[in-house]
Amino acid sequence: MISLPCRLRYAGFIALALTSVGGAQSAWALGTAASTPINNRATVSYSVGAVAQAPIESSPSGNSTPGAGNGADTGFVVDNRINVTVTRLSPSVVTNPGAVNVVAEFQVSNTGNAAQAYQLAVTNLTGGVVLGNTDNQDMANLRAFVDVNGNGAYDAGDTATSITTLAADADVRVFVVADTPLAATNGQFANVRLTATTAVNNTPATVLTQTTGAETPGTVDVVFGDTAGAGDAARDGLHSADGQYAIQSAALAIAKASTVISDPFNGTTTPKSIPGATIEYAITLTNSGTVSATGVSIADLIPANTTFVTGAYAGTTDVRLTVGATDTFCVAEVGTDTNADGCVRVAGELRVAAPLLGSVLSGPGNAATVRFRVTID
Amino acid sequence: MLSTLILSVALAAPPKAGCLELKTIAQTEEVVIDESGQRRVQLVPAAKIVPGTEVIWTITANNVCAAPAANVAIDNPVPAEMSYVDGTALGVGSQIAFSLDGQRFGAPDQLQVREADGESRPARADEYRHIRFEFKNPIAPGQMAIARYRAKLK
Repeated sequence: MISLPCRLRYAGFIALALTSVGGAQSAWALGTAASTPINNRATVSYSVGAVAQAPIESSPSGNSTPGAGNGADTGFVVDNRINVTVTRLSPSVVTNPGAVNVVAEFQVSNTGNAAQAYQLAVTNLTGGVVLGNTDNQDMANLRAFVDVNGNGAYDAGDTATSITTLAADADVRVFVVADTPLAATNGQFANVRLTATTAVNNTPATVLTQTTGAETPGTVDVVFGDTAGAGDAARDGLHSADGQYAIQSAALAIAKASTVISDPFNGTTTPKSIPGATIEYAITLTNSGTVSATGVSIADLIPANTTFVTGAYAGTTDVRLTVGATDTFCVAEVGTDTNADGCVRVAGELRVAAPLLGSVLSGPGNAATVRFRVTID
Repeated sequence: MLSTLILSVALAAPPKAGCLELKTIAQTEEVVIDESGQRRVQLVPAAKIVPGTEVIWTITANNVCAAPAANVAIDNPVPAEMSYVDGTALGVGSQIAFSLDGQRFGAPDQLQVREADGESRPARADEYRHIRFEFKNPIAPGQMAIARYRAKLK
C-alpha cells in the first residue's frame, strides 16, 4: 500500500434563485382619515299648550334659539392612528457561501389613517427560530432598501434606506440585502429581522412620538395603535418581521484507495505489490452538500519509485473517470494538455480537471472516481 | 297675499327664545382605577378618537319655560363618518325610531334595505342614518329630556 498526498480544489456554486411573491396587496378598510372633522347637530321639535313650536338646533353649550342655523355643531377632529405592519414576502432565501447582495423581500404596510414616514432597521438574530429553523449563522453587510420605483425588484434605483412617505392603506416593498460569509456552511440558517419605525411624514429622520396627556380638541393627536411584531410590543409605533437565509453549499469528501492489478509472477491472480507489479489508484469525490460542486480539479503526486502507466484504459487512454455507471477517459500528456481533455502530468503529479472532471453533483450516486495506474519500479 | 306678508314680517323679526335648550356633547369612555383600587369606566370629553373608537353622543333638552313642553321629539342624524352601535340608543320615557333616509322612521324590524338585485333585507344598525327619540310625557319646566347613543368612527 502506498499512501500519498492528494490535493483538491473546488468551488461550490449554484445559480441564485430569488423567489418573489408578487401582487399580494392587503385590503384593509382603514377608516376615516386623520384630521377629518366630525360634526353633529340634533334638532328638537315640541309643542307648548298644544301649539307646535319652531324646532331648535343643538349646540355644544346649549341653544334655545329656534330656527335653522341658530345651533352649532358639536364635534372633534379625527386623531392620527399609527398602525404599521411589516410582513415577510420571501420564503427562506437560498444562498451560497460568498454570495453578495442576496435579497430577502419584505413589505411595510401603513394600516393607519394618515400618511407616515418610516425608518428601517435590519439586524441579525441570535438563535431565533424562523420558519422552523434555528439561526446559527449571521449575514454580513446587512442593509435595507426601499423599492422606490415600485417595480417589485431590487435594482439600481432602489437606494433609499427609509420610507419618506407612505399613504394610509398603502404598502411598499422593502429589500433586505446582505452578503453570505465565505465561512458559512451547508445547512446553516441566518435569520434576520426588519423593523419599521413610524416617523414624521416626509421627515423620516424624526421618529413620531405619541401624544401624551388629555385630548386637545381641534388638534390631531398621535395614537399608537399597532400590533406586536416579531420583536416589538403592541402600541409602540413600530413593527417587525423576521426573514431567513438558508445556506446551501457543496460539501466534498475525497477518498483514495489502491489495488494491485497484477505482478510479473502471479499475473492477475492474487497479485502482490512487488517490483514490476501494476497498482491502480482510485480517488473518489463525494458531494454530501445540497448543490453541485463546480470547477472541481484534483492533483495527485505520482508516487516515488513508481512509473505512470500510459494506455492503461480503453482506447489507449491513461485516466478513467467513473460517475455512476458511466465511464469517460482521457490521456495525461507530460507537460501540456495538448488534446485539451483535462488530464496532464506536470511536476511529477497527475492533474485532472475539466472537461473530464468539472462538477460533482450532490448525492452518493453522483460520486466521481478517478482511476490511474502505476508500476512499481 | 295677507298671509305671505305676515310670514315675511315674522321672518324678519329677531328670533325669539324657545322653551327648550338643546345641547349635544361628545364623550368617550376612560378606564380609571378609583381610590379603592376598582377599575371604573367614566365618561370624559371626547378624546383620542381614531377609526374604531366609540363616541357617546348625549343630547339634552332642558325646559327653560314656565310651561310644560309636549310632543318633544329629538332628531339626530348620525355623523356620516360614524356608524350607530346596535342597541345603544337610550332615552328614558321615549320611543326610539330609526331611519335610513331621514324621512321614514320606524323600529329596527320595520327598516328594509333594497339590494341591487331587487331583494329586500333587514337594515343593519350601521346603516341607520337618523335616530329619533319621541318622549311620551311632557317635559315639565326645569326638567330635562335625555337622549344618548353610541356611534363608532368608521
